[in-house]
Amino acid sequence: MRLHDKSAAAGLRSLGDELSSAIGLLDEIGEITERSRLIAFNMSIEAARIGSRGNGFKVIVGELRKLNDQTAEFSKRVSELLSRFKKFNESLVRNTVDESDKVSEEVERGIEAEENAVRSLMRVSHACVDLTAGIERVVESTNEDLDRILESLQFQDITRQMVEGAQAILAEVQEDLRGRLGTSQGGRDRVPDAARVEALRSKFLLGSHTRGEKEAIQEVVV
Amino acid sequence: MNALIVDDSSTMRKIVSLALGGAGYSTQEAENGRIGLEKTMLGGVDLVLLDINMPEMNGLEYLEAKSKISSIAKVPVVMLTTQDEKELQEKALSLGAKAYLVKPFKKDDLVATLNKIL
Repeated sequence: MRLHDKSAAAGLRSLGDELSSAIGLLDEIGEITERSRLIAFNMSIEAARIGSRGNGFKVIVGELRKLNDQTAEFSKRVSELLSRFKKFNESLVRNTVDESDKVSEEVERGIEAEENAVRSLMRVSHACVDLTAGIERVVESTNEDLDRILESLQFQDITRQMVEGAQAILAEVQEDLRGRLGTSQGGRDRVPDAARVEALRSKFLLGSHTRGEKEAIQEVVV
Repeated sequence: MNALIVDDSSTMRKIVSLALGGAGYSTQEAENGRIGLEKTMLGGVDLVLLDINMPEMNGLEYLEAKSKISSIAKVPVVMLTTQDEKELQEKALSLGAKAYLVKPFKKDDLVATLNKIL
């Protein structure tokens, strides 16, 4: 029975390590969110600077902000969920080791009264069965949640690539606009013409690698 | 089993590592094809999970280079990428990849694919 308890405790400790890694990943998602916030902030300044012609940027800034809010909310919820699992897991590890120690102490004392010892072992045995069933339930539900977390994190990472793809084309359009605002005297020339934007879009589509980047480049409106 | 995860996204490397760790694999990571190739040549790699779009050396270039080095040519490679174009899949398989999975992947699908190959 001690071996069984120890193996359960080792299993729980390993589960705890996995949960810690998942929490570490959330920190990275937090950093990505912060970076995106900064990009959105800079883009909103640029949009304000070029006035009504910056409306296209404003749409993107709005979308970026929504994405950031969703990411922050997602990270918070997953973090709370993982912390709860981690606490529960730690308390299960403690309980498993405690039960194991109780059995050891009784054996070491030489089992003074056989009847008491049998009763005690029966109690520990029942506790162990209950505990094992509990562990199985927790491991099962944690695995399902980890699956969902892993998939959600992949979507987050793919979204990051999409944002970076959109950012690249916007930066070039911005640069183009900046150049023309600096050199042109007439108001009409300041409006980015559709052909130029489409030429830039084609260029970026050719250079894009992922499905996410392609979709983001198609979506950009200037 | 020791799996080498080659992907330029550190988040994705950790996601794959977490998924494989739960299935009993030990993992190591590389951030592009060149570093991946160096780590494969150091030995002890039973399997490679390979992204395509990476700086310095992409996944297809890695496959081509690996096939020319006899000591590592037989290390199995599973592609793990967001690029789902048929031509890329055919190219990767013709360069020696054993399977082609598109992200986002499901942990069970990944593990089932690896079990089938190994």
